[in-house]
Amino acid sequence: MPTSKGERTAHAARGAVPRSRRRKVVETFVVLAVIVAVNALCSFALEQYGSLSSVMWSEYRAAAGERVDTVVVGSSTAQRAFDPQVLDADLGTATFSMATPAQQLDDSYTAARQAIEDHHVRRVILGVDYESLSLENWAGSHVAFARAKMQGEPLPQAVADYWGLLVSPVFFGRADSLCALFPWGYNHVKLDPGSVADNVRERLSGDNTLEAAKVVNGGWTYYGRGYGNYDDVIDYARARESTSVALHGLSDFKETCLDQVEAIVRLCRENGVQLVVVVTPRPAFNVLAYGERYPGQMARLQQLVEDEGATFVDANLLHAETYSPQDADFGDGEHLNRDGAARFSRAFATVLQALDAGQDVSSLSHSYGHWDQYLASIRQISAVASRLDVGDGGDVTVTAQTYTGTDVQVEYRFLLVDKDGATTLIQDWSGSDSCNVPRGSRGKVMVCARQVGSTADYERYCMQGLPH
Amino acid sequence: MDLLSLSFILFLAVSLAAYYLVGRIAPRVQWVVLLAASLAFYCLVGRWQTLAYMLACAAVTWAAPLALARMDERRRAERASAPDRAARRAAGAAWGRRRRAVLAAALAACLGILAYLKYWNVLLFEAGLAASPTSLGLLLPLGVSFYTFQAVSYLVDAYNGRFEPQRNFAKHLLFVSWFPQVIQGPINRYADLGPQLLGYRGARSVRWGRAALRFGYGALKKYAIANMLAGTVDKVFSGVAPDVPGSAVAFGVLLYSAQQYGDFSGGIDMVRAASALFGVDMAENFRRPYLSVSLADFWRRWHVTLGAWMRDYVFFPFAVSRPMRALGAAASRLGPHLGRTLPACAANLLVFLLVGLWHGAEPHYVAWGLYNGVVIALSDLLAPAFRRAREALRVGAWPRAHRALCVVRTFLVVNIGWYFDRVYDLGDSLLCLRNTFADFAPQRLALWLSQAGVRDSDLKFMVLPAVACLFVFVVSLLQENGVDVAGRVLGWNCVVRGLFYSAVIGLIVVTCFLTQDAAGGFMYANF
Repeated sequence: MPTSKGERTAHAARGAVPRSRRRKVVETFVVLAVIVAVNALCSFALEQYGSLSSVMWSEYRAAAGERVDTVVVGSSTAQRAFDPQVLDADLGTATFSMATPAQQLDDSYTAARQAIEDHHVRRVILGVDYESLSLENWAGSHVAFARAKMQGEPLPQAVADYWGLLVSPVFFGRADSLCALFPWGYNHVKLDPGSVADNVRERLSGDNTLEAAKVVNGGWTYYGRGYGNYDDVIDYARARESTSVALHGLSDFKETCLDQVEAIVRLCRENGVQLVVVVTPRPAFNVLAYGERYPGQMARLQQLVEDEGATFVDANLLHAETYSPQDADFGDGEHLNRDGAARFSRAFATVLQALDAGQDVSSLSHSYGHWDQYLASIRQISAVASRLDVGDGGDVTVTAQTYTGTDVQVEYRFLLVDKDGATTLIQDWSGSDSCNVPRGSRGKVMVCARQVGSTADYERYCMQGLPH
Repeated sequence: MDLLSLSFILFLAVSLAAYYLVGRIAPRVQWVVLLAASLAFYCLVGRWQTLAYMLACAAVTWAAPLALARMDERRRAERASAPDRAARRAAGAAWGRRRRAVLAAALAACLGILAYLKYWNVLLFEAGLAASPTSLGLLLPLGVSFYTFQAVSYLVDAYNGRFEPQRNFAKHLLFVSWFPQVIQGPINRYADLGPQLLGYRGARSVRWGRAALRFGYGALKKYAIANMLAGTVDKVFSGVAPDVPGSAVAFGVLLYSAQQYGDFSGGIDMVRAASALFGVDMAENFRRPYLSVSLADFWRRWHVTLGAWMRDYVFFPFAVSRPMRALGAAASRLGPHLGRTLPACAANLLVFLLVGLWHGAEPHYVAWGLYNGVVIALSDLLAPAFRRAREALRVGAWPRAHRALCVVRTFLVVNIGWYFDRVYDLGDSLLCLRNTFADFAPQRLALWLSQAGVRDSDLKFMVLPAVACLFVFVVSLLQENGVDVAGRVLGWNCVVRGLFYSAVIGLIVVTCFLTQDAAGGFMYANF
């Protein structure tokens, strides 16, 4: 019975008879059915088809009957750092990469556990970077990973997996635990008609997830054993925007993340699996950008890993005779490209060989306790960035900041570049890292840097826009 | 535990199942389930270490009214046995003093705990005796202001003999700790809430559909409006500098206006819905405040239960106090209007000073409270002049236009007040206010926002809260015109309803995904 005045008025206005209990129940089921149907439709249209997580899981299942004795887990930095075929060629192992973009540490745990259960692997390589331990868990990544894992699983297992995600500590007390029931909200294509249409077309085309992934991730190539990569090369002139600090901010490692690493270490130890925790390579400027925070925080991770009996390797600190990346090895400030991954994997294979031979691999790299030695070991200018200051009187000053070793002497040159590309010298090569820009200048200032004694036009440069 | 989370839904489901099951088996102890759920919720959501404060508050406000009742009995007995009228009067006066002493001691205990937890550290900091406003590490209990105010209202009402005091401590504790209200209110009265909590409730009497709709409406306000705007508002006001363009400040304040309403009223909708599932209707706390026609009207629609609490326990007692009566009498020599309104003006100033202090001891909150008090006092004092102006302008001929104008005017007045509320430094508040009028500079808005860290994507995604605001505005207009919106929606064809709910859920899901960095908590949770 309608009890409020408003309800009675509404019923009276429509001349409607109050619904019976049975009809209400039926209507409730219809409403729920419509919501489920709309959700399914949205998931079909909007949820990314051919995500790299789904490629990994589908390829992993396809390799069910094959020998796998080593797995790589971790986020995109790990995914793009280890080439299983290079490792296997040098070590005689059978490696599969289970690393996926933005893979969270608890998902790395899930992947490692699955590989241990399915293949009794003897080695797990956990690739991490600073952000693996300093950023909060990202619900979207968890959803993408869990959804990809569910595909191809028996329904009860899939439901159990997803329920496990919803009641996990990261989700359970947050709105994500309910909103993730609508996964298209978390792992969707760009919300523009073209992208949605492409996604639907790809689903309907009959392509498998791997083929779809190649279409969706333009420039990405799959090389087998869970490993795919890009061929792009970093533009060092854009170093300022490429540092992880600029992209993600800078904070200390989260205790929850360290706990998750500890869980992986324990998992491996309890199953007699060798664990190697590897900080993946990046351009030196993107290590230097953290300042003293980097050795301070990484030392915490190293201690945790080694205290639990696992092996820790920071690829950025390896001595040059073991690993010396080339400029063109990086796709961006955080990832290796295909050639870079091959070169790093060859170097890393020697580290694993040393490890298998019972050698102390810590002697292969600099230590966080002697950070000055690492800084002195950098022999080139990794990148130059710039800052613009406008004085009270409107005077504009451009100041350069180089990312380089402590023993490297740098000189700078400042050029004005107008919109047509014509250059005018503002300040010629000198040790001064700043220059005043003439009043009325338009365009950009090109900041060039090279080592003292060099005759190159520049070793690194960056562009500084001027205020209009 | 967010209100919109699986953990809360499971908590609700278990509590509801237990409540209605126990109701069937042993209706007289059905309320025990509510008490258990409330204490469990407090420990899960708040910090169990702070439960002692709530227990202490409940104990004081339970024991004092019982003591008052006993004193009443003894006073009656003494008066009955008194030999003459003078002795009866003396006995009455003596017991009256003792009763007031008990009331004052109980009030001092409750409000003293609140003041210590909320203000002591801030006062030490302002006096230069503490390193920061939180350096003492005092644990601020969840919803401490709300349960304290509620318990105080019980105490004062019991003192005034409005009801028989509750003899069962556990039942009183349930009234103080009722879990939907401890996050951020509303401040319920015992006469309304007590019987609902303690009486039998059957599942069939619950209007599940309406409760679910209200919960969803609240979630929409919280996630699609408040959470979506919080980041941008923070960025705008975190770097206030002398050159901040007034346009950026006005932009930030408008967003804050929506953010705060979405957060507070959204949260209230959700907890009222949760309470309604147990058949317990809590007091209304928001009545479309941005459709108010005056600032006084706004405060009758915004945080209604706090306004009512202040009215009953501060405004009226103060306005009719002896000094205020004397003030009124003195002012009436200058005219009857002044004699009537001046005590009310003084009481309003006191009320809003307290409301400001309730938000915090920082000077900007005090300024915000006084701003509201001064505006309301002035509008009361100048009411005859406004009336004459309205008559002269014949605004009665265009009542709708006049009302619309009043709504816009009130919105602007309220938003000026938000400058003092949201900009966490009084000097910066004044700077922002000055720049809004003296250096609006809309041409610098985009550049300044970008320098403040507001990304293009932040602005692009503002279409989502804009859609949600439009939705809330339409619903508010309909409700203002007496339409039972929930009833209408529940009367729709079920397929249409399913599609409508899907759209709302979609908006919540997308905004939830976009605001994962935002805390799920509520702005008023630690008040």
